[in-house]
Amino acid sequence: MNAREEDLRNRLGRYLTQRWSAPTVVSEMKRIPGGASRETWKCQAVHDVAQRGLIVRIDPITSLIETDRRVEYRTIEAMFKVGLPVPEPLFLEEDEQWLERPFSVMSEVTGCDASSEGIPDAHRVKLGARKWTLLGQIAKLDPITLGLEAFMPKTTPANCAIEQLDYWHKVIRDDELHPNPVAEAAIRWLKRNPPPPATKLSLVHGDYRTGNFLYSPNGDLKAILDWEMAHIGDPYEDLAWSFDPLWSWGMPELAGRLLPHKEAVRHWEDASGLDLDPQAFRWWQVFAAVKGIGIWISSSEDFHNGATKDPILAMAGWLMTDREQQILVDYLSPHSSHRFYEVVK
Amino acid sequence: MIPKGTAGIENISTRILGNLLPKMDDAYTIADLAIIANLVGMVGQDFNRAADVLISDHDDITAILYDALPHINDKGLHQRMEAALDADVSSYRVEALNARGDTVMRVLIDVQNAVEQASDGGAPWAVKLNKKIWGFLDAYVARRTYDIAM
Repeated sequence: MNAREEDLRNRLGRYLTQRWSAPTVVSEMKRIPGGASRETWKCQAVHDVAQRGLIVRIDPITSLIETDRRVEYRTIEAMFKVGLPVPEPLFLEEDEQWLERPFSVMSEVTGCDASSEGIPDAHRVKLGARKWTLLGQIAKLDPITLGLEAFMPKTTPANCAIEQLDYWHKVIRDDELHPNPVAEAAIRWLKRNPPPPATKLSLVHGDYRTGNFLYSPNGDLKAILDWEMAHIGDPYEDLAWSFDPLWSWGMPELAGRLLPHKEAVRHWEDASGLDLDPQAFRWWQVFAAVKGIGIWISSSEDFHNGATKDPILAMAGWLMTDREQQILVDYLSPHSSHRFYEVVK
Repeated sequence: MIPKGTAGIENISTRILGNLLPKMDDAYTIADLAIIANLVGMVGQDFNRAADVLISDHDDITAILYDALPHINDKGLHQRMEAALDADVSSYRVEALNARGDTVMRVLIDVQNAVEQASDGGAPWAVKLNKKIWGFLDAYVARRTYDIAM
């Protein structure tokens, strides 16, 4: 065990002892890959006679996206209460006396994998059906009844699309290390061709993709992760993001490397009760690639300015930006062969 | 200069992936090292093509600006276009080529905006020029594509 692991283990033990009012010993403290927006650690906690696996998400000095830990934690709490598969949230701690940075603690979902590349062929259909059914169920929820407006910005069906576009345009303009002519052309296209108002306001996960859920070896989807970009908006936003060709690179015929797009839409429509308008959805597909560029540019800026040396941020900034640009010219260029175009309905 | 720089850099990447990675035993370090090896491979690709990318971009953009110049009525933008066409580089270092490229690219972005507005208004020259600009954007993206198995 290295010094950082030992220090965290001791500090977390003291914290949990205080929170649970019972002597608690932490062991097997290991940083795990993934979750680029937070340092993610896995450990075991033993108190009284019980032992449980925990996941600790610590605010980084910087991150892939500047997100609000409270939004993530409160959203997971709300989803846990309505019975959606998310890790059980235990504590959100913003007092820096414990681990020097804010952090959250959740129960570990054991025996699962999160790799989007390693999904066995035998589980693709089952996982895909579950993935887009769950997204439809999220779209069906009423964010007002869930109390999400208490910690998320309010919006309207007419404004949510342009608000999101303005947000990500500002991220690109603020964080870009060089001018981005493809992103700028796409943003102008989005502004000139606004979508119709959302048919309803929904909870938008913000990063709903195959790499952001845990599945068991027998192909059961056990937990949806990474809610830090959650907000209230158009349910098409998550569906379009889940269809971004970036998540099915080398396998464009399968959305998220799981299902043909039409099948994914069918599951989503059945669960949400919504009727997808392919014309309006087109706007959200272009937006998804622009949003991606915003995320990757932001991560690249942190890496290049030395705020972090985490290579995942450089990889995101270099490779993902390249690929999102390929997607955007494929969508918008008059010379395009539309190799990423898939019929969704 | 590193002899055969691209191959040399690629070999560093291969060494990390083939020899160092298998000796690691914790998941976080393995993931970290795999990413670093791929990043090194990408640096190798950029090492070989950087000057070509930047000079090809500049040649394409100046051709577009020459085409657009007679049609742009906005005085400020017109002046920026002329300045961009006159822009020279202090050296052929990639850093210097990048700096000139950024300046010229910002002008192109504003020119495309103006061209799109004219195109929406039905001006045939603008429709044609906008297609040419998209042709450049296609090439801009293709020049920067990384060949990487991820």
